[in-house]
Amino acid sequence: MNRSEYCAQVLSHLRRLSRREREAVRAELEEHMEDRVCALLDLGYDQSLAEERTMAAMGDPAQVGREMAKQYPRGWNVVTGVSLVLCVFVMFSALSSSSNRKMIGYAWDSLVYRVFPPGPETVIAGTVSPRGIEPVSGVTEAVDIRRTIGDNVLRVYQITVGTQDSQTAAKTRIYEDGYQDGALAAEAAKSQEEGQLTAEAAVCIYHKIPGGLVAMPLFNNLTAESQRGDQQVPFRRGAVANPMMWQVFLRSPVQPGDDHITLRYAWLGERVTVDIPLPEEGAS
Amino acid sequence: MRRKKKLSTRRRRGVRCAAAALVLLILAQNFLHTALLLPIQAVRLAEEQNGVQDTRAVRRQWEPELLNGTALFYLTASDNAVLLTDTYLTARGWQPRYSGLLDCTEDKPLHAGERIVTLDAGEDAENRYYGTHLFFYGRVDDPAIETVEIRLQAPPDYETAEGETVDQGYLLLTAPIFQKNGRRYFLLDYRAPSPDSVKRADRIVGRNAAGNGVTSFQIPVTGVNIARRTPRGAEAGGST
Repeated sequence: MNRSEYCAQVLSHLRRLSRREREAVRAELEEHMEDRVCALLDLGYDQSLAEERTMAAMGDPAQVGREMAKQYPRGWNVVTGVSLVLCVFVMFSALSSSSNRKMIGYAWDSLVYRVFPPGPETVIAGTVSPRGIEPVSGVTEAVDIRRTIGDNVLRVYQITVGTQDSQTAAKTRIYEDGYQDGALAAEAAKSQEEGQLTAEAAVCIYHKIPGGLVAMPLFNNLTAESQRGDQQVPFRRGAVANPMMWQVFLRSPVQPGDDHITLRYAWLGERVTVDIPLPEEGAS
Repeated sequence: MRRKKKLSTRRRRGVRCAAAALVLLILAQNFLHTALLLPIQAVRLAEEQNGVQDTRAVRRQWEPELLNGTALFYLTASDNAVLLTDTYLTARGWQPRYSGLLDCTEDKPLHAGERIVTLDAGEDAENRYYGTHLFFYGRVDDPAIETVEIRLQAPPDYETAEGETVDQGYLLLTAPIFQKNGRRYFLLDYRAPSPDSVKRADRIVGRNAAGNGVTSFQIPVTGVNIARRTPRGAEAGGST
Protein backbone atom coordinates (compact mmCIF):
# COMPACT_ATOMS: atom_id res chain seq x y z
CA MET A 1 0.00 0.00 0.00
CA ASN A 2 1.50 3.32 -1.00
CA ARG A 3 0.82 6.72 0.57
CA SER A 4 -2.00 7.77 -1.70
CA GLU A 5 -3.79 4.45 -1.23
CA TYR A 6 -3.45 4.83 2.53
CA CYS A 7 -4.90 8.33 2.38
CA ALA A 8 -7.76 7.16 0.19
CA GLN A 9 -8.64 4.41 2.66
CA VAL A 10 -8.59 6.82 5.60
CA LEU A 11 -10.75 9.33 3.71
CA SER A 12 -13.26 6.65 2.74
CA HIS A 13 -14.27 6.54 6.42
CA LEU A 14 -14.74 10.28 6.62
CA ARG A 15 -18.17 11.12 5.35
CA ARG A 16 -19.97 14.48 5.18
CA LEU A 17 -16.70 16.33 4.77
CA SER A 18 -16.49 19.32 2.51
CA ARG A 19 -14.01 19.30 -0.35
CA ARG A 20 -11.74 21.69 1.51
CA GLU A 21 -11.84 19.61 4.68
CA ARG A 22 -11.07 16.46 2.68
CA GLU A 23 -8.06 18.14 1.05
CA ALA A 24 -6.86 19.39 4.41
CA VAL A 25 -6.99 15.88 5.91
CA ARG A 26 -5.18 14.44 2.90
CA ALA A 27 -2.45 17.11 3.12
CA GLU A 28 -2.05 16.54 6.85
CA LEU A 29 -1.64 12.79 6.43
CA GLU A 30 0.79 13.12 3.52
CA GLU A 31 2.85 15.68 5.39
CA HIS A 32 3.01 13.43 8.39
CA MET A 33 4.10 10.47 6.28
CA GLU A 34 6.64 12.58 4.41
CA ASP A 35 8.23 13.70 7.68
CA ARG A 36 8.50 10.13 8.87
CA VAL A 37 10.00 8.88 5.61
CA CYS A 38 12.55 11.70 5.64
CA ALA A 39 13.51 10.88 9.21
CA LEU A 40 14.05 7.24 8.30
CA LEU A 41 16.05 8.18 5.20
CA ASP A 42 18.25 10.34 7.41
CA LEU A 43 18.88 7.30 9.59
CA GLY A 44 20.14 5.40 6.56
CA TYR A 45 17.06 3.47 5.50
CA ASP A 46 16.55 3.05 1.80
CA GLN A 47 13.45 4.51 0.15
CA SER A 48 11.31 1.38 -0.09
CA LEU A 49 12.03 0.26 3.44
CA ALA A 50 11.36 3.73 4.77
CA GLU A 51 7.99 3.76 2.98
CA GLU A 52 7.11 0.33 4.30
CA ARG A 53 8.02 1.19 7.89
CA THR A 54 6.09 4.43 7.67
CA MET A 55 2.94 2.69 6.45
CA ALA A 56 3.23 0.17 9.26
CA ALA A 57 3.68 2.93 11.82
CA MET A 58 0.63 4.85 10.60
CA GLY A 59 -1.66 2.03 11.74
CA ASP A 60 -4.89 0.58 10.41
CA PRO A 61 -6.41 3.13 7.97
CA ALA A 62 -9.96 2.11 8.89
CA GLN A 63 -9.35 2.78 12.57
CA VAL A 64 -7.56 6.05 11.83
CA GLY A 65 -10.48 7.08 9.61
CA ARG A 66 -13.06 6.32 12.30
CA GLU A 67 -11.09 8.23 14.94
CA MET A 68 -10.68 11.22 12.64
CA ALA A 69 -14.39 11.21 11.82
CA LYS A 70 -15.08 12.00 15.48
CA GLN A 71 -13.21 15.27 14.99
CA TYR A 72 -15.82 16.43 12.50
CA PRO A 73 -19.13 16.55 14.38
CA ARG A 74 -22.20 17.31 12.27
CA GLY A 75 -23.84 19.69 14.75
CA TRP A 76 -21.80 22.74 13.81
CA ASN A 77 -22.64 22.27 10.15
CA VAL A 78 -26.32 22.37 11.12
CA VAL A 79 -25.68 25.58 13.08
CA THR A 80 -23.99 27.11 10.05
CA GLY A 81 -26.83 26.06 7.73
CA VAL A 82 -29.57 27.38 10.00
CA SER A 83 -27.66 30.65 10.49
CA LEU A 84 -27.29 31.14 6.74
CA VAL A 85 -31.01 30.49 6.19
CA LEU A 86 -31.77 33.02 8.94
CA CYS A 87 -29.46 35.58 7.31
CA VAL A 88 -31.20 35.16 3.97
CA PHE A 89 -34.61 35.50 5.62
CA VAL A 90 -33.60 38.66 7.48
CA MET A 91 -32.10 40.24 4.37
CA PHE A 92 -35.20 39.42 2.34
CA SER A 93 -37.46 40.70 5.08
CA ALA A 94 -35.48 43.91 5.40
CA LEU A 95 -35.04 44.75 1.74
CA SER A 96 -38.15 43.39 0.05
CA SER A 97 -40.42 46.15 1.27
CA SER A 98 -40.03 49.82 0.38
CA SER A 99 -41.36 50.85 3.78
CA ASN A 100 -38.55 48.90 5.42
CA ARG A 101 -36.00 50.73 3.32
CA LYS A 102 -37.54 54.02 4.47
CA MET A 103 -37.23 52.84 8.06
CA ILE A 104 -33.45 52.90 7.72
CA GLY A 105 -33.67 56.64 7.05
CA TYR A 106 -36.09 57.13 9.93
CA ALA A 107 -33.75 55.28 12.28
CA TRP A 108 -30.85 57.45 11.21
CA ASP A 109 -32.87 60.65 11.66
CA SER A 110 -33.99 59.52 15.07
CA LEU A 111 -30.38 58.97 16.11
CA VAL A 112 -29.19 62.33 14.82
CA TYR A 113 -32.16 64.40 16.00
CA ARG A 114 -32.04 63.13 19.54
CA VAL A 115 -28.61 64.76 19.83
CA PHE A 116 -29.13 67.71 17.48
CA PRO A 117 -32.85 68.49 17.29
CA PRO A 118 -33.77 70.45 14.18
CA GLY A 119 -35.08 73.98 14.17
CA PRO A 120 -38.77 74.75 13.63
CA GLU A 121 -38.22 75.68 9.98
CA THR A 122 -36.75 72.24 9.22
CA VAL A 123 -39.59 70.44 10.93
CA ILE A 124 -42.26 72.55 9.34
CA ALA A 125 -40.70 71.94 5.93
CA GLY A 126 -41.07 68.20 6.53
CA THR A 127 -44.60 68.40 7.89
CA VAL A 128 -47.08 66.61 5.70
CA SER A 129 -50.12 68.82 6.28
CA PRO A 130 -51.13 71.57 6.50
CA ARG A 131 -48.68 73.55 4.44
CA GLY A 132 -47.62 77.09 5.09
CA ILE A 133 -47.34 76.96 8.87
CA GLU A 134 -45.06 79.66 10.21
CA PRO A 135 -43.23 79.36 13.52
CA VAL A 136 -43.97 81.89 16.23
CA SER A 137 -41.69 84.86 15.75
CA GLY A 138 -40.29 86.47 18.87
CA VAL A 139 -37.80 85.74 21.61
CA THR A 140 -36.37 82.23 21.46
CA GLU A 141 -34.47 80.44 24.18
CA ALA A 142 -32.83 77.01 24.07
CA VAL A 143 -33.82 74.74 26.93
CA ASP A 144 -33.13 71.11 27.70
CA ILE A 145 -35.92 69.56 29.72
CA ARG A 146 -36.32 65.79 29.53
CA ARG A 147 -38.97 63.50 30.99
CA THR A 148 -39.31 59.77 30.61
CA ILE A 149 -42.85 58.77 29.72
CA GLY A 150 -43.25 55.04 29.58
CA ASP A 151 -40.61 53.80 27.16
CA ASN A 152 -40.31 57.20 25.52
CA VAL A 153 -38.39 60.35 26.26
CA LEU A 154 -39.97 63.77 25.87
CA ARG A 155 -37.43 66.50 25.32
CA VAL A 156 -38.28 70.19 25.23
CA TYR A 157 -35.46 71.88 23.41
CA GLN A 158 -36.71 75.35 22.54
CA ILE A 159 -39.24 77.85 23.80
CA THR A 160 -40.33 80.89 21.86
CA VAL A 161 -42.58 83.74 22.94
CA GLY A 162 -43.94 86.10 20.36
CA THR A 163 -46.81 86.60 18.03
CA GLN A 164 -48.06 84.03 15.62
CA ASP A 165 -48.85 84.54 12.03
CA SER A 166 -52.60 84.97 11.65
CA GLN A 167 -52.67 82.74 8.59
CA THR A 168 -50.95 79.99 10.53
CA ALA A 169 -53.47 80.29 13.32
CA ALA A 170 -56.27 80.05 10.81
CA LYS A 171 -54.75 77.05 9.06
CA THR A 172 -54.25 75.13 12.26
CA ARG A 173 -57.86 75.83 13.15
CA ILE A 174 -58.94 74.53 9.79
CA TYR A 175 -56.90 71.42 10.30
CA GLU A 176 -58.03 70.68 13.81
CA ASP A 177 -61.71 71.40 13.27
CA GLY A 178 -61.94 69.53 10.01
CA TYR A 179 -61.69 70.84 6.47
CA GLN A 180 -65.42 71.02 5.90
CA ASP A 181 -65.76 73.86 8.43
CA GLY A 182 -62.50 75.43 7.45
CA ALA A 183 -63.77 78.77 6.22
CA LEU A 184 -65.77 79.49 9.34
CA ALA A 185 -62.96 78.35 11.58
CA ALA A 186 -60.47 80.51 9.74
CA GLU A 187 -62.59 83.61 10.29
CA ALA A 188 -63.03 82.82 13.96
CA ALA A 189 -59.33 82.18 14.43
CA LYS A 190 -58.29 85.34 12.66
CA SER A 191 -60.24 87.60 14.94
CA GLN A 192 -59.30 85.76 18.11
CA GLU A 193 -55.65 85.02 17.64
CA GLU A 194 -54.16 87.70 15.47
CA GLY A 195 -51.55 89.54 17.50
CA GLN A 196 -52.04 87.25 20.48
CA LEU A 197 -48.90 86.78 22.55
CA THR A 198 -48.11 83.08 22.17
CA ALA A 199 -45.58 80.65 23.61
CA GLU A 200 -44.42 77.84 21.37
CA ALA A 201 -42.59 74.87 22.83
CA ALA A 202 -40.52 72.77 20.44
CA VAL A 203 -40.61 69.21 21.63
CA CYS A 204 -39.13 66.01 20.32
CA ILE A 205 -40.25 62.58 21.41
CA TYR A 206 -38.21 59.45 20.92
CA HIS A 207 -37.95 55.92 22.25
CA LYS A 208 -35.42 55.21 24.98
CA ILE A 209 -33.89 52.53 22.78
CA PRO A 210 -32.78 53.88 19.39
CA GLY A 211 -35.01 52.45 16.68
CA GLY A 212 -38.01 51.96 18.95
CA LEU A 213 -41.40 53.29 17.86
CA VAL A 214 -42.92 56.28 19.63
CA ALA A 215 -46.28 55.61 21.27
CA MET A 216 -49.14 57.25 19.35
CA PRO A 217 -50.86 58.62 22.49
CA LEU A 218 -47.82 60.80 23.12
CA PHE A 219 -48.68 62.76 20.02
CA ASN A 220 -52.42 62.85 20.55
CA ASN A 221 -52.59 63.42 24.31
CA LEU A 222 -49.87 65.99 24.83
CA THR A 223 -51.16 69.49 25.41
CA ALA A 224 -49.73 72.86 26.40
CA GLU A 225 -51.51 75.38 28.58
CA SER A 226 -50.78 78.72 30.13
CA GLN A 227 -50.67 79.51 33.85
CA ARG A 228 -54.39 80.24 33.68
CA GLY A 229 -55.16 77.01 31.93
CA ASP A 230 -55.64 78.56 28.47
CA GLN A 231 -54.89 76.41 25.47
CA GLN A 232 -54.76 77.15 21.81
CA VAL A 233 -57.23 74.43 21.14
CA PRO A 234 -55.22 72.31 20.33
CA PHE A 235 -52.20 73.36 18.37
CA ARG A 236 -50.08 70.40 17.50
CA ARG A 237 -47.74 70.20 14.58
CA GLY A 238 -45.16 67.57 14.03
CA ALA A 239 -43.20 65.66 11.48
CA VAL A 240 -45.30 62.57 12.00
CA ALA A 241 -43.87 60.85 8.95
CA ASN A 242 -41.12 59.42 11.13
CA PRO A 243 -42.56 56.90 13.58
CA MET A 244 -39.32 56.77 15.58
CA MET A 245 -38.93 60.48 16.27
CA TRP A 246 -41.53 63.14 16.45
CA GLN A 247 -40.98 66.84 16.61
CA VAL A 248 -44.04 68.53 17.96
CA PHE A 249 -44.79 72.21 18.45
CA LEU A 250 -47.25 73.07 21.13
CA ARG A 251 -48.63 76.56 21.44
CA SER A 252 -50.35 78.28 24.27
CA PRO A 253 -51.61 81.85 24.55
CA VAL A 254 -49.71 83.75 27.24
CA GLN A 255 -49.99 87.15 28.86
CA PRO A 256 -47.32 89.64 29.92
CA GLY A 257 -45.94 88.60 33.29
CA ASP A 258 -46.37 84.86 32.73
CA ASP A 259 -43.26 82.94 33.70
CA HIS A 260 -44.02 79.47 32.41
CA ILE A 261 -46.32 77.26 30.39
CA THR A 262 -47.19 73.68 31.27
CA LEU A 263 -47.15 70.57 29.15
CA ARG A 264 -49.61 67.92 30.23
CA TYR A 265 -49.88 64.32 29.25
CA ALA A 266 -52.34 61.73 30.52
CA TRP A 267 -52.73 58.21 29.25
CA LEU A 268 -53.85 54.99 30.91
CA GLY A 269 -53.48 56.38 34.40
CA GLU A 270 -50.07 57.92 33.77
CA ARG A 271 -50.00 61.68 34.28
CA VAL A 272 -47.02 63.84 33.46
CA THR A 273 -46.70 67.58 33.95
CA VAL A 274 -43.76 69.59 32.68
CA ASP A 275 -43.33 73.29 33.46
CA ILE A 276 -41.35 75.20 30.86
CA PRO A 277 -39.97 78.55 31.96
CA LEU A 278 -40.57 81.35 29.47
CA PRO A 279 -37.77 83.64 28.33
CA GLU A 280 -37.88 86.68 30.61
CA GLU A 281 -37.50 89.07 27.76
CA GLY A 282 -40.33 87.62 25.74
CA ALA A 283 -43.03 87.48 28.41
CA SER A 284 -42.49 90.91 29.83
CA MET B 1 8.09 31.06 2.29
CA ARG B 2 4.43 30.70 1.47
CA ARG B 3 2.32 31.09 4.53
CA LYS B 4 -0.12 28.26 5.05
CA LYS B 5 -3.70 29.43 5.14
CA LYS B 6 -5.41 28.44 8.35
CA LEU B 7 -8.55 26.44 7.73
CA SER B 8 -11.43 27.53 9.91
CA THR B 9 -12.96 24.72 11.89
CA ARG B 10 -16.61 23.81 11.70
CA ARG B 11 -17.12 25.19 15.15
CA ARG B 12 -15.50 28.51 14.36
CA ARG B 13 -17.51 28.85 11.15
CA GLY B 14 -20.73 27.92 12.94
CA VAL B 15 -20.13 30.44 15.71
CA ARG B 16 -19.32 33.19 13.20
CA CYS B 17 -22.41 32.49 11.10
CA ALA B 18 -24.65 32.31 14.17
CA ALA B 19 -23.24 35.59 15.49
CA ALA B 20 -23.75 37.31 12.13
CA ALA B 21 -27.32 36.02 11.89
CA LEU B 22 -28.05 37.19 15.42
CA VAL B 23 -26.68 40.67 14.79
CA LEU B 24 -28.67 40.99 11.55
CA LEU B 25 -31.81 39.75 13.28
CA ILE B 26 -31.45 42.21 16.16
CA LEU B 27 -30.84 45.11 13.77
CA ALA B 28 -33.78 44.18 11.55
CA GLN B 29 -36.14 43.68 14.46
CA ASN B 30 -35.05 46.76 16.37
CA PHE B 31 -34.67 49.29 13.56
CA LEU B 32 -36.90 47.98 10.80
CA HIS B 33 -39.46 46.18 12.97
CA THR B 34 -39.51 43.27 10.58
CA ALA B 35 -38.31 39.65 10.55
CA LEU B 36 -40.30 38.94 13.69
CA LEU B 37 -40.02 35.25 14.38
CA LEU B 38 -42.77 34.96 16.98
CA PRO B 39 -46.33 36.33 16.92
CA ILE B 40 -45.91 37.70 20.43
CA GLN B 41 -43.15 39.98 19.10
CA ALA B 42 -45.69 41.49 16.71
CA VAL B 43 -48.09 41.95 19.62
CA ARG B 44 -45.41 43.73 21.63
CA LEU B 45 -44.79 46.04 18.68
CA ALA B 46 -48.47 46.95 18.54
CA GLU B 47 -48.46 47.56 22.29
CA GLU B 48 -45.45 49.84 21.96
CA GLN B 49 -47.33 51.95 19.43
CA ASN B 50 -50.38 52.06 21.67
CA GLY B 51 -48.35 53.19 24.67
CA VAL B 52 -49.24 50.13 26.72
CA GLN B 53 -46.64 48.57 28.96
CA ASP B 54 -46.14 45.56 31.20
CA THR B 55 -48.76 43.38 29.60
CA ARG B 56 -49.16 39.65 29.78
CA ALA B 57 -50.78 37.40 27.23
CA VAL B 58 -54.14 36.35 28.58
CA ARG B 59 -55.47 34.30 25.67
CA ARG B 60 -54.49 33.38 22.16
CA GLN B 61 -56.99 32.49 19.51
CA TRP B 62 -56.33 31.18 16.04
CA GLU B 63 -58.80 32.22 13.35
CA PRO B 64 -58.25 29.87 10.42
CA GLU B 65 -60.80 31.65 8.25
CA LEU B 66 -58.93 34.95 8.23
CA LEU B 67 -55.76 35.86 6.32
CA ASN B 68 -55.04 32.48 4.76
CA GLY B 69 -55.28 30.72 8.04
CA THR B 70 -52.45 32.54 9.77
CA ALA B 71 -54.42 35.07 11.82
CA LEU B 72 -53.66 34.82 15.52
CA PHE B 73 -55.58 37.03 17.92
CA TYR B 74 -53.92 37.87 21.19
CA LEU B 75 -55.69 39.18 24.23
CA THR B 76 -53.09 40.88 26.39
CA ALA B 77 -53.63 42.88 29.53
CA SER B 78 -51.91 45.12 32.03
CA ASP B 79 -53.40 46.63 35.18
CA ASN B 80 -54.68 49.60 33.17
CA ALA B 81 -55.55 48.23 29.76
CA VAL B 82 -56.76 45.26 27.77
CA LEU B 83 -55.65 44.90 24.18
CA LEU B 84 -56.90 42.63 21.43
CA THR B 85 -54.29 42.45 18.67
CA ASP B 86 -54.31 40.33 15.57
CA THR B 87 -51.11 39.18 13.95
CA TYR B 88 -50.48 37.30 10.75
CA LEU B 89 -47.63 35.46 9.14
CA THR B 90 -46.02 36.67 5.93
CA ALA B 91 -42.86 35.82 4.06
CA ARG B 92 -41.27 38.65 6.06
CA GLY B 93 -42.20 37.12 9.41
CA TRP B 94 -45.02 37.90 11.80
CA GLN B 95 -46.66 41.28 11.54
CA PRO B 96 -49.25 43.05 13.66
CA ARG B 97 -52.45 44.29 12.05
CA TYR B 98 -54.94 46.03 14.30
CA SER B 99 -55.23 46.55 17.99
CA GLY B 100 -58.35 47.32 19.94
CA LEU B 101 -57.41 49.09 23.15
CA LEU B 102 -59.60 49.13 26.21
CA ASP B 103 -58.80 51.71 28.86
CA CYS B 104 -59.45 50.10 32.25
CA THR B 105 -58.30 52.97 34.46
CA GLU B 106 -61.86 53.98 35.29
CA ASP B 107 -63.42 52.25 38.24
CA LYS B 108 -66.14 50.27 36.49
CA PRO B 109 -67.57 46.83 37.25
CA LEU B 110 -67.11 45.72 33.67
CA HIS B 111 -64.90 46.88 30.81
CA ALA B 112 -65.81 45.70 27.33
CA GLY B 113 -64.91 46.35 23.72
CA GLU B 114 -65.92 45.07 20.32
CA ARG B 115 -63.69 44.41 17.33
CA ILE B 116 -65.44 44.08 13.99
CA VAL B 117 -63.79 42.29 11.09
CA THR B 118 -65.70 42.40 7.84
CA LEU B 119 -64.97 39.43 5.62
CA ASP B 120 -64.08 40.33 2.06
CA ALA B 121 -64.03 37.66 -0.62
CA GLY B 122 -62.39 39.98 -3.15
CA GLU B 123 -63.53 42.28 -5.93
CA ASP B 124 -64.40 39.48 -8.31
CA ALA B 125 -66.56 37.58 -5.87
CA GLU B 126 -70.29 37.61 -6.42
CA ASN B 127 -70.96 38.11 -2.72
CA ARG B 128 -67.98 40.27 -1.85
CA TYR B 129 -68.66 41.18 1.80
CA TYR B 130 -70.02 37.88 2.88
CA GLY B 131 -70.01 38.19 6.64
CA THR B 132 -68.66 39.75 9.78
CA HIS B 133 -66.48 38.35 12.48
CA LEU B 134 -67.22 39.98 15.82
CA PHE B 135 -64.94 39.82 18.82
CA PHE B 136 -66.21 40.81 22.25
CA TYR B 137 -63.59 41.11 24.92
CA GLY B 138 -62.96 42.78 28.22
CA ARG B 139 -62.31 42.55 31.91
CA VAL B 140 -64.71 41.85 34.77
CA ASP B 141 -63.74 43.84 37.86
CA ASP B 142 -66.85 43.39 40.00
CA PRO B 143 -66.70 40.05 41.83
CA ALA B 144 -70.50 40.01 41.98
CA ILE B 145 -70.69 39.52 38.22
CA GLU B 146 -70.96 35.83 37.46
CA THR B 147 -72.02 35.87 33.83
CA VAL B 148 -71.46 38.23 30.93
CA GLU B 149 -74.29 38.41 28.44
CA ILE B 150 -73.80 39.94 25.01
CA ARG B 151 -76.94 41.31 23.41
CA LEU B 152 -76.25 41.31 19.72
CA GLN B 153 -78.34 43.35 17.32
CA ALA B 154 -80.17 40.86 15.14
CA PRO B 155 -81.83 41.75 11.84
CA PRO B 156 -85.67 41.50 11.88
CA ASP B 157 -85.64 38.47 9.59
CA TYR B 158 -83.03 36.65 11.62
CA GLU B 159 -83.70 32.93 11.84
CA THR B 160 -82.58 31.53 15.16
CA ALA B 161 -80.48 28.43 15.08
CA GLU B 162 -80.73 25.67 17.64
CA GLY B 163 -79.74 26.86 21.10
CA GLU B 164 -79.96 30.55 20.20
CA THR B 165 -82.32 33.00 21.88
CA VAL B 166 -83.55 36.28 20.48
CA ASP B 167 -85.01 38.77 22.93
CA GLN B 168 -86.50 42.08 21.75
CA GLY B 169 -84.42 42.13 18.61
CA TYR B 170 -81.23 41.09 20.34
CA LEU B 171 -79.53 37.77 19.94
CA LEU B 172 -78.33 36.65 23.38
CA LEU B 173 -74.85 35.22 23.71
CA THR B 174 -73.02 34.29 26.88
CA ALA B 175 -69.32 35.06 27.06
CA PRO B 176 -67.33 32.61 29.16
CA ILE B 177 -65.35 34.27 31.94
CA PHE B 178 -61.90 32.97 32.69
CA GLN B 179 -59.33 33.93 35.28
CA LYS B 180 -55.74 34.80 34.54
CA ASN B 181 -53.09 36.52 36.66
CA GLY B 182 -55.63 37.24 39.38
CA ARG B 183 -58.14 39.01 37.13
CA ARG B 184 -61.20 37.86 35.23
CA TYR B 185 -61.49 38.32 31.47
CA PHE B 186 -63.76 37.26 28.66
CA LEU B 187 -63.29 36.80 24.94
CA LEU B 188 -66.06 35.74 22.63
CA ASP B 189 -66.09 35.63 18.87
CA TYR B 190 -69.18 35.38 16.75
CA ARG B 191 -69.55 34.98 13.04
CA ALA B 192 -72.45 37.12 11.84
CA PRO B 193 -73.76 36.32 8.38
CA SER B 194 -74.36 39.93 7.34
CA PRO B 195 -71.68 42.59 6.86
CA ASP B 196 -73.62 45.42 8.59
CA SER B 197 -70.69 46.12 10.83
CA VAL B 198 -70.29 49.86 11.05
CA LYS B 199 -73.49 50.91 12.79
CA ARG B 200 -73.66 48.19 15.35
CA ALA B 201 -75.09 48.94 18.76
CA ASP B 202 -74.54 45.73 20.66
CA ARG B 203 -74.97 45.74 24.39
CA ILE B 204 -73.40 43.92 27.30
CA VAL B 205 -75.00 42.92 30.57
CA GLY B 206 -73.08 41.75 33.63
CA ARG B 207 -75.27 39.51 35.76
CA ASN B 208 -74.84 38.28 39.32
CA ALA B 209 -75.43 34.75 40.57
CA ALA B 210 -79.16 35.38 40.86
CA GLY B 211 -79.32 36.46 37.22
CA ASN B 212 -79.94 40.12 38.01
CA GLY B 213 -78.20 42.75 35.95
CA VAL B 214 -75.34 44.48 37.77
CA THR B 215 -74.35 46.71 34.88
CA SER B 216 -75.39 47.20 31.28
CA PHE B 217 -74.08 49.45 28.53
CA GLN B 218 -73.57 49.66 24.81
CA ILE B 219 -70.28 48.05 23.86
CA PRO B 220 -67.85 50.58 22.39
CA VAL B 221 -66.38 49.53 19.07
CA THR B 222 -62.60 49.59 19.45
CA GLY B 223 -61.75 48.72 15.88
CA VAL B 224 -63.25 48.03 12.47
CA ASN B 225 -61.32 46.51 9.62
CA ILE B 226 -61.72 44.37 6.56
CA ALA B 227 -59.98 41.03 6.19
CA ARG B 228 -59.44 39.87 2.65
CA ARG B 229 -59.67 36.22 1.99
CA THR B 230 -57.12 35.76 -0.74
CA PRO B 231 -56.93 32.60 -2.79
CA ARG B 232 -55.05 29.68 -1.33
CA GLY B 233 -51.31 29.90 -1.92
CA ALA B 234 -51.18 33.68 -2.27
CA GLU B 235 -49.49 35.84 0.31
CA ALA B 236 -51.59 36.79 3.30
CA GLY B 237 -53.55 39.87 2.34
CA GLY B 238 -53.78 43.11 4.22
CA SER B 239 -56.79 45.17 4.75
CA THR B 240 -58.28 48.36 3.57
